[in-house]
Amino acid sequence: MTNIWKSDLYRFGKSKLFYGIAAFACVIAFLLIMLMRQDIRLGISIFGDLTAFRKIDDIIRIGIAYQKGLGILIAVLISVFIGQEYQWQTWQQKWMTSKNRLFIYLSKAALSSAVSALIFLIFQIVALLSSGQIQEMLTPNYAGMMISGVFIYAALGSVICLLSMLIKSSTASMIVCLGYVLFSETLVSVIRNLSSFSDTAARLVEWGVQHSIFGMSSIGSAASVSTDIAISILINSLAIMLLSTAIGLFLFRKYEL
Amino acid sequence: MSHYILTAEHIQKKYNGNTVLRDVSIHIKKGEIYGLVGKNGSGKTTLFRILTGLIQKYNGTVSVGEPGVQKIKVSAVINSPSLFLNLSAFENMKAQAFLLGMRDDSRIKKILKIVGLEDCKNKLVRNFSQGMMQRLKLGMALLEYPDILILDEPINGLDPDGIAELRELLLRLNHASGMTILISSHILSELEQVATCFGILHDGEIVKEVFIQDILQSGTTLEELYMQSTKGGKQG
Repeated sequence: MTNIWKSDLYRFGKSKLFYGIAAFACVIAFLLIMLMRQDIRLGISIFGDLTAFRKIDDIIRIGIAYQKGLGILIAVLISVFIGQEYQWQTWQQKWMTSKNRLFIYLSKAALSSAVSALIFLIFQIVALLSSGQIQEMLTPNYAGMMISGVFIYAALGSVICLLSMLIKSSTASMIVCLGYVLFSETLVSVIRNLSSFSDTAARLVEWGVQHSIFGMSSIGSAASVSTDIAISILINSLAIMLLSTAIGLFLFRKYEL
Repeated sequence: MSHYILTAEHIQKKYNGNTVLRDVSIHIKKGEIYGLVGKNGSGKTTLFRILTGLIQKYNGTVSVGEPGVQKIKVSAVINSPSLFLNLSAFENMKAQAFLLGMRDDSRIKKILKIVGLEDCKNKLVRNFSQGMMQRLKLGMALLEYPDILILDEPINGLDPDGIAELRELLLRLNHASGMTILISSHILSELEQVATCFGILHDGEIVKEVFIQDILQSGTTLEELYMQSTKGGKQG
C-alpha cells in the first residue's frame, strides 16, 4: 500500500495541473480579500444566486461552499489525475507488479481526500493571511469551521474519486464530476420538490440533504460552527468517505483494466 | 528435468458473445524464449493480458512458478501506452521504482542506458517516437529483475537498428540471467532469430507448437510453417 501511495504521490508532485490549481486558489483568495479591503464589493455566482460579499468573513466562509468554485477546481484535478490512468492504461503497471486492487483504490481515495482538503486549506490560509485575521484561526468558531471544512472537502474528494474510478474515460469522468459539483444544489431542489407530496418523504429527503456533502457545506458556510455542528460534520464526512470507498472497492475489483 | 515456469490450460475468453480464445494451452519452461505467432485479432494480446492478470474473467487456469521458488516476478510490455505521457522517461521509471519499493536511482540510470534512452531521460514521453516508447516500456519491465518477461509485439515502431538492439538485448538477458521470455511479433523472420519455441495461434487456438530445432531440421521457415498451419487447422 505504501509503495502505491508513494508512486501516486510522486506523480502528483510532478503534476503541473496541481500547482496551477493551487496557485489559482491562492490568487483567488488573495484577490477577493484585497478587493474587499479596497471596498470593492463583488460576488460569485455559479448557476445560482449571486453571492455578494459584504465583509471579509464572507470570503473566508465561501471556501466551504465547494460548489462556488473550489469544488470545480478539485473535480478537474482529481478526475484528470485518475482519468489519465485509464487514458494511458497505466493501471497495467500497478496490476502487473502484483498490487492488490484494494490498495490501488485506497491509495487513490486517500490521495483524493488529502488533495481536496489541501486545496481548501490553501484557500483558507491565504484568505486569512491576506485579511490579517490569521490569529482568528485559534478561536473556537474559526477552528471549528476549518476542521469542518477539511472533513467536508475530504468527503468531496472521496466522492469525486469514486466517480472518476468508475468512469473509464477521463473526459466523461470530468464532465460527471463537474456536473456533480455544479448541479448538486439544483439536484437538491428538485429532490425536495419531488418529495413534497408526503411529509414522511419530505422529512426523509431533508435528513438526507442535511447529511450530504452539499448540506454540510451549506451549514458550514452559513452560520458559526459550534462544537456540536463540527462533530456532526466530522461523523457525516467520515461516513460518506467510508461508504463511497466501500462502493468503489466493490465495483473496481470487477473491472478489466 | 526442466519444469514449466508458466502454464496456461484450456483458456477460453469471450467478449460480448464473440469467442476470442477458444481453447488455448501453453507450457513454457524456465529459460525458454517462447514466440507466439498469430494474425491481428487472433487473441495474442488477450492471452497476454490473461497471463499477466489484467483480465480476470476467463475460463481455464494459469499457473506461474516452479517448485522451491517462493515468488516469480512477471513483467510485461503489453501493446498499449502504459506510460504517463505528461512525465519524462526518468519520471516514469521513478514512479515505477516507487511501486516496486526501489529507492536507489542507480538502477534506473543503468536500465535507461541499457534501453538506449540515457540521453533523452528528461524529455517528456509525449514527445517520444513509438520506438522510444517501446524501449521505455521495456526498461520499466526490466526494472524489477523479472523471472518472466512478456512482450506483446515489442518490435512495433522500432527502426532496423532498434530491432537488432532489442534482439541482442533479449538474447543477452536470456543467456546471462536465464530470463524466460514470452514474445509475440508479426515479423516472423525476426522472431525466428530470437525464440527457441513457437506457438501458432489461429482462430482462438494454438494450432501448432514447434521448437526451433525442428524448423531448422525440416529446412523450412517459420513463415512457411505458419502459412501451412493456419490453412490446415490443428496439427501435432
